[in-house]
Amino acid sequence: MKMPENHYAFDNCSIIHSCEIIIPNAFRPILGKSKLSHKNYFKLSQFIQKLNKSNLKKFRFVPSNADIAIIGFVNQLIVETGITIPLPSAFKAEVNEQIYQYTQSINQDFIEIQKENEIKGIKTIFVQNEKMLKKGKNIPETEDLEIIAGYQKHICEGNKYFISEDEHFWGYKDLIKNNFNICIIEEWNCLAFNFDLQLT
Amino acid sequence: MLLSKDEAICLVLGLSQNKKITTITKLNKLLARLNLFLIPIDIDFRLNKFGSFNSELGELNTNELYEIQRYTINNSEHKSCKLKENGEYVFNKVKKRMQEIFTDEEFTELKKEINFLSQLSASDLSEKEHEILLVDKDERFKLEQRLNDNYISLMDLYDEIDKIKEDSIISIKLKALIEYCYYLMKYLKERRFKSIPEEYEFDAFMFDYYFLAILQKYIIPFLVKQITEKDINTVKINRYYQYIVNYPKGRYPFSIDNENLNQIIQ
Repeated sequence: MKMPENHYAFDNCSIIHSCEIIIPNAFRPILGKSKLSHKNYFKLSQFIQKLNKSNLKKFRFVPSNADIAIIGFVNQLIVETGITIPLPSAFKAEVNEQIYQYTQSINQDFIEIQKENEIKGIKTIFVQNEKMLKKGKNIPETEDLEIIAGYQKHICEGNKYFISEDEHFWGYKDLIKNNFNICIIEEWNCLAFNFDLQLT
Repeated sequence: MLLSKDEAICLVLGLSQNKKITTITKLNKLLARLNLFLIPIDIDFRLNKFGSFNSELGELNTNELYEIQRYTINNSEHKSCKLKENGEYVFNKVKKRMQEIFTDEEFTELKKEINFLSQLSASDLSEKEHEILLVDKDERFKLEQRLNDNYISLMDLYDEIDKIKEDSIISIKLKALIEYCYYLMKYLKERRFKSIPEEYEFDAFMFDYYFLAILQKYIIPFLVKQITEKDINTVKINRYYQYIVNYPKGRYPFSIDNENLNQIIQ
């Protein structure tokens, strides 16, 4: 008997976090390294490889504002270096371009799921069960709710998994599982996720 | 987009009268001219007494794209270059790729210019290039003026850079272009041309002169306009960024590919 297929959807930021940036030569002596990546890069790239090896489908949500996600990520990377970079805009432009090209090339490996605009009911559930989050805004933003609504509508015979670093998702892990039947996998925990168990 | 040597030759031949160039010196000049249209090509030029020059072009042989014909005039041997059928195919492919960065009007302008120049003699071409690039020792004052004008304009633009919001990848690229041009100009003014040589600069790297001319003619006027306009011209920003930032990688000291760049800009 054929097992129901699980679906693995990624937050756009998590797709971006799976990119490793090659630092242009001019900035290498300043940064003291030749590559730059998000702290979860290794885990995410391994996780994606695992999915690929097992021929498991990967999903992402559209429409997405790639520019904003990339800009935010690059700014975060720069702040984390703690270094004042000469030609800062040129550095950003170069890194932006690399990530943009990466997402363009990898996006075709991900099946698109449409975000859903109708989020009123979903928002009510979050408001009624509001939790204190570290990130400040306790209630998931409109875009987050549109992802949940879109994924909820998406047809899947097996389990629905969603990989994200955003506290708006993992902070409400149980609520999302119980109400929308979506299992949240925290980015940093993705390698600990027991694949084989889920597959059998 | 970086055109290979053969692609660039096919482009020039395809735009020339009768798809033919009568001497290699002329071919040299016309290929160099692509730089002034901000078309990156995989050929580096140095300065000789006729202007932009690449010695390897003298060794071109017939291939599947173009035919080199030898002929003699007044006991001196010359070589002409003519586009072949396969070359036309490459020309059309290049033309199509160029539509990404050139508007129809700009491509027509390029076509008109190359076609017109292809009908001039090598010495006329050389003279025109000297006028544009200000390489002659008699024009040192104009070169100095160009250095000062460009530098002042870019200082003003650089002062305005924080007014550009970083709300899209292209707006960051615009900021990067201003920043990069400012530091490039600073390098040209304070290092490369700190003391302008009195003599003709045989064997000088032509990028120095191309950048100075291109900044003055195209990029600075565009940036001045762009910084005050709401609508961002994505195609032009990408085209200028590609020529000024990406093209020099690995072929010019002021390049983000140079690990000593930080010392150059300080």
